[in-house]
Amino acid sequence: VAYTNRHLITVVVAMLAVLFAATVLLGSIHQQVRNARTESHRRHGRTLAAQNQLAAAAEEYRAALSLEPDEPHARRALALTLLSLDRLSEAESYLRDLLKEAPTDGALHRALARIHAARGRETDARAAYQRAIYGEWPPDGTERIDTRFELIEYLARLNAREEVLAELVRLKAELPPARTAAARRVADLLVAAGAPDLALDTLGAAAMTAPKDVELLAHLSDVQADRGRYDEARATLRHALALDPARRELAGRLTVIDRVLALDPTLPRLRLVTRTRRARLVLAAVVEHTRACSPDVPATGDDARRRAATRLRRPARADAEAAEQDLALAARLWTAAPACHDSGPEGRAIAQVLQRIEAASELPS
Amino acid sequence: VKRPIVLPVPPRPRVSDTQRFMLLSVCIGVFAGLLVVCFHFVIDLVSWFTLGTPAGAAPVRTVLAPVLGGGLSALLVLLVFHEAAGSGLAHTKAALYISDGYVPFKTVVAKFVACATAIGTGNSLGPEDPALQMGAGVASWVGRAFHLPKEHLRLIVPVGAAAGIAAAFNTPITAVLFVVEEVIGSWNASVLGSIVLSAVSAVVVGRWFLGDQPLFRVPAFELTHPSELVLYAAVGLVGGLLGTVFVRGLGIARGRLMDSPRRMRLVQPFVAGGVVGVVGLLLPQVLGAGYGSIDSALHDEFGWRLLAVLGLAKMVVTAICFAAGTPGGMFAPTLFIGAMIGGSIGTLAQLYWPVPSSPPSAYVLVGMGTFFAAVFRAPMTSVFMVFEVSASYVIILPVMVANLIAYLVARTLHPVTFFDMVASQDGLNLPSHERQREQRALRVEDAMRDARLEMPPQGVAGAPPSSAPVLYPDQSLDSALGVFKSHQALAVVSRQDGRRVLGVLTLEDVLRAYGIAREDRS
Repeated sequence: VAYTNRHLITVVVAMLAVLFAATVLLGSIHQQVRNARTESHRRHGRTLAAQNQLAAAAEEYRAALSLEPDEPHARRALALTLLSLDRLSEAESYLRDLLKEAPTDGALHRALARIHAARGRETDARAAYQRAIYGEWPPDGTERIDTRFELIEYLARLNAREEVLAELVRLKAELPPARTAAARRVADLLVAAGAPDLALDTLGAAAMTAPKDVELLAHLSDVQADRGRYDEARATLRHALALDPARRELAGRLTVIDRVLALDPTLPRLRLVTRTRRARLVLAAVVEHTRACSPDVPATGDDARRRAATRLRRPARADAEAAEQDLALAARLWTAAPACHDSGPEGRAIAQVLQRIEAASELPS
Repeated sequence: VKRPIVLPVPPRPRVSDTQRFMLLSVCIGVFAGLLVVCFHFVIDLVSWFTLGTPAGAAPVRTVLAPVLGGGLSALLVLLVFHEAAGSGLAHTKAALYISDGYVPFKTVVAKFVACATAIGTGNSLGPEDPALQMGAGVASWVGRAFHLPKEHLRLIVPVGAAAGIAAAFNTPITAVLFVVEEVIGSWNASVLGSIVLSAVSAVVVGRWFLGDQPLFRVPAFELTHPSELVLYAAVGLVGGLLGTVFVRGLGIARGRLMDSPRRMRLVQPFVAGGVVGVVGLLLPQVLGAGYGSIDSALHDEFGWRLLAVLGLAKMVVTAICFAAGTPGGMFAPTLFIGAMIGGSIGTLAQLYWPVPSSPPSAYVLVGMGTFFAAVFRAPMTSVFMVFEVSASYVIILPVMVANLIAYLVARTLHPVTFFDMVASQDGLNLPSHERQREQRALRVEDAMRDARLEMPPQGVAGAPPSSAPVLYPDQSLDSALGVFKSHQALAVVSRQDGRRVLGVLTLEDVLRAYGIAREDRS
């Protein structure tokens, strides 16, 4: 039989070898051309995206993918660009595709979570955000924390207060000490979520690690003042001012706190005499301040001002009832002059004091 | 002086003909795989250098490239290499049934050059059918080189065809099924092993060079609600109807263009290229095979209107290109058209279907299969092809439902299959495997007489003697004929109880069953 002929086999094997070599050569040329064109489209896409020409950038990424469908960077860039263009359906399709290959990629899960959130799929969005938070990110951890913030904001929009608090507590625990800006943001969110003590803890811990961060100290003093810890707020502000004496607004805040400490009759451990005297001081400060900043008050305010002048002419007695009358009159006069509420340190100090008095009177006896 | 020790020479291992055939099948698979990989590379390079990237971005190139590429490649085929014109599958079947497995090697070269030029320059045709013919050509050449006997040479052609299509689609199962359904028309055990071997070898080579990813990246999805099967059935119905319209329209257009004077035949591919170019200016997605656009459709890039327009536009430009004689295949355009129509229905379903439905990408996949089933009438191939190109098993149930409906609709409305129609127009008288599949083989029970009514023949009274051959009611009459030999009549016994005679079969009965009367024989 002729087909056992060795020469024939040799010829066929040689032809196979030649065809193989030709395929390798052609493949190499194909790959070079493809890579060059893919890279060119991808680069152009990046440039366009940086110039905020997102639609054109998406077309460039598509062109790159038409050449090299497996190119992960272009796929990823296209998916994220489509998301920015609000082409959610298409973006979701690419993201799901990418997630099959990189199931722990935090950025991809976050993008998918944004799509779920935009489409009102709350459960999916929560799950995707969680997967994003616990997914893979660059080692500095910034993106992970930003994603947690994004989840918190999303939950806040859904009025899920408990979940917001839970996420804030987790965020507080995993926040690196050096990220004081993030700590300030967490503190604000904690205050907004009704957990000011946790906010104080957060800022306090951050201040321990960054004792020379003036912004952080100022923020801490604000929260301390809001919580009624004026002594601590004053100490913190003094420390901040010592670090940066040129910050005039800090001096202004310190003036306010000093003034609040001088006026506030609700401060703990004050004797009745002192409280009565402070009530009179509050009334006098309100009369003085409103006269300066709002001379033509409405009729009710004018009447209150006359009565206040009469009361101020009498000597102060150590009488709780008289003190309450002084404070009630002060509050009435203050309400009639809203233009004075934010007028300078004195106005802010009086406003804070009156707020504290109001809050104290609402407390159950 | 020591005498050298002479060891006995072991006898050379003998290789049987079957084993040689198998080895050659592997060799053909590798050969065809390498050729198809080169074909793929050349198409890409031609496309990048003529149309640019992305295709359709440069208007002048978009119009000129298909005109020149399609026209020149068609001239090459029409004037020099006639064997490379028309459908590759029809020529492969012709090699199998008419020319004893002979496919000239120049056909492979011509197909490679002409189709790479035409498809690469944006003409709306696909590379799979040429790959099938190139595989068959390589197999025929190897078979002739090894001086295979005539019966082996005929059988080796489908082996090469399977390798070609497997490498082109990266789908070994689909390739085997397609060759069985469309080329050889039966599960021929003697060649099936070789077909599988060559398909696998070709796919291994293809994956070595092109990667092992499926043809399409399909986003994850699931059948969200059983009522969705109604939608998939609708996809099947629309696919079947449009497939029929496409085949009919193509048949009419091709017939008319083929009847035109020779000078006109030479001009037609240029005009077809011009039409493709102009359409490509508005819809660049229709240029070339269109796999990139299918991928885009799978990722919800297009709205339902654009999907529908793309499907219809591709139908028109593909029909024009194929009818005008531009070299190339129909598989990829068929998948494109089906994908776009399916995607359009899926996108509409997402908007208006009262219960949640799967993403449009699921309908894109199902649509691909339905149009393929309607045009090529290869139902099994269409199901497995969708499964293999997507590597998604979830899709199999909707695909089966939709493809069956598309197949039945198309078969009812247009009895002649696409390949039979093209072969007939090319003047090739080839067997129709669809008709063969539908023919019911006669069985012994169709011809036998009841034992209780007939006089028992010799040796049939009661239980047949153990030495006499017997027949079974489910046996085919063809096989029964071989058992008769010198016997006038044979007992038909139960398979459950070999001693129980169910009937009697005579040679006369067999002839009657085949419709051959005694007078005819005389």
